[in-house]
Amino acid sequence: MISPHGGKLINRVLTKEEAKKLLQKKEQLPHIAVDESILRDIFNICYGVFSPLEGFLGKKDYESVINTMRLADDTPWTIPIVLDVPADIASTLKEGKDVLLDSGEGKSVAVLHIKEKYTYDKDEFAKKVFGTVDEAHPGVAKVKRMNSLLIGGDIDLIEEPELPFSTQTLKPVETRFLFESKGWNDVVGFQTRNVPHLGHEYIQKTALAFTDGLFINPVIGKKKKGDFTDEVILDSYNALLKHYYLKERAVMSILQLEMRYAGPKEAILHAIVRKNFGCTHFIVGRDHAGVGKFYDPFAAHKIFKDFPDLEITPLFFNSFFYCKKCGGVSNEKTCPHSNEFRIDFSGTKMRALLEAGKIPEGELMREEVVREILKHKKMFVE
Amino acid sequence: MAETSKKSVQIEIPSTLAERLEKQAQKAGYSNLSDYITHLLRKGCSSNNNDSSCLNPEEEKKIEERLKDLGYID
Ligand SMILES: [Zn+2]
Repeated sequence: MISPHGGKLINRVLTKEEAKKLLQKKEQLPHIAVDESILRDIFNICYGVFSPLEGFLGKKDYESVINTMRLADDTPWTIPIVLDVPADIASTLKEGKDVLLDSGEGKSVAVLHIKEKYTYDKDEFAKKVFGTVDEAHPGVAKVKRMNSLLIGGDIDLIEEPELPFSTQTLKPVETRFLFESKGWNDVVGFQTRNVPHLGHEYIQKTALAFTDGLFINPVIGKKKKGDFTDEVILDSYNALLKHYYLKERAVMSILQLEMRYAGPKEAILHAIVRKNFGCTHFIVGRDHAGVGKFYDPFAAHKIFKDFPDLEITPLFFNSFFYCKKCGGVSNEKTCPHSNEFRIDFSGTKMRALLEAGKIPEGELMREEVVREILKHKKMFVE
Repeated sequence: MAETSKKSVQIEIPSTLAERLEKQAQKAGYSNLSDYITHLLRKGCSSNNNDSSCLNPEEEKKIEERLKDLGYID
């Protein structure tokens, strides 16, 4: 089994007794209400999805991540996982003390041991992580909305945050157990935020042909307008798995993570997370984690050259099309035929068909998958 | 941690611990303390790498049950 990132799977979950003891002091401690995307970060830190992180980044790590794409100890890490706090609350927080992190329902889900409070430059954050300060970029827009103070420090989980689709969410300790019990050594991870067409299936099966197992790991969490809803993505994949995969060879569980749309840098984070789940290989597609025209479609392939020490092996795939002459899914490297024979897996075209309640050609999408998608009245995030 | 050569590094540990380890090293038949500590650390590393073996039987059972309940394993 591949080692977790940084060598150790992080587990920062308090025992029932420890949690109870802490909650007895609840009234004396300051509280911060956090939103669902921070709840997801808390989940990911405490259950080791973000190993080796043990909390929200302090200043030294934050600066190291944005400037060198590594933590201060040189471990690869490309996206700052930070906690911003409103100024009025920040002034009540003292370094060296604890603060409780509360969910929307006022439940304290974690405790943060405050190591430091620090300011940061939003434009620098945006420029260095997203490569732009253009607020049309959803990641940049989010940074611009953040509070101007960050607090760093290790956290401990008091109670598992309530997140949607919990029965389809596995923790790294569970996926590692699962892969081992299936006898998989080489496991390929597939990231998605889309419904599957035949091009995706072809990529997955090509990778599966020379590994032991396929781990389909859709990202669930806040997305942008026009993306397929989480329900549609999960139902369509469940249909694909049921009809076109062997149960012994492919499993799906979801990743509770908000898309940052940081393109290449997010591709590295996505690979690290899959390594923590126990994957040895990770599929990196065209314009991975990109948005609009902000990134070179192959930037996410090139960036892996900067991380020879990542340990998980990236598998790079270009775009695919269906070729009538080849009689199957092909790409520029495998098909010698001209455009007249090729059907493009155009996302826009497929969306338009689905929206009109029409069934895309059988060469583009499996009928069972289409039927599942069409059951949903609301297909896209509004 | 000071780098002494390209192939090894010097690490500081409390001298009282070193004394205890020295005795153990002799008993175990190691000719020097460094070799013995290297052996211990390698053992530690490989057991850290194998996550499932770090779980106690109770934790393992809990994971197995959840995976069964959710239909991931039979
Ligand atoms: Zn062809």
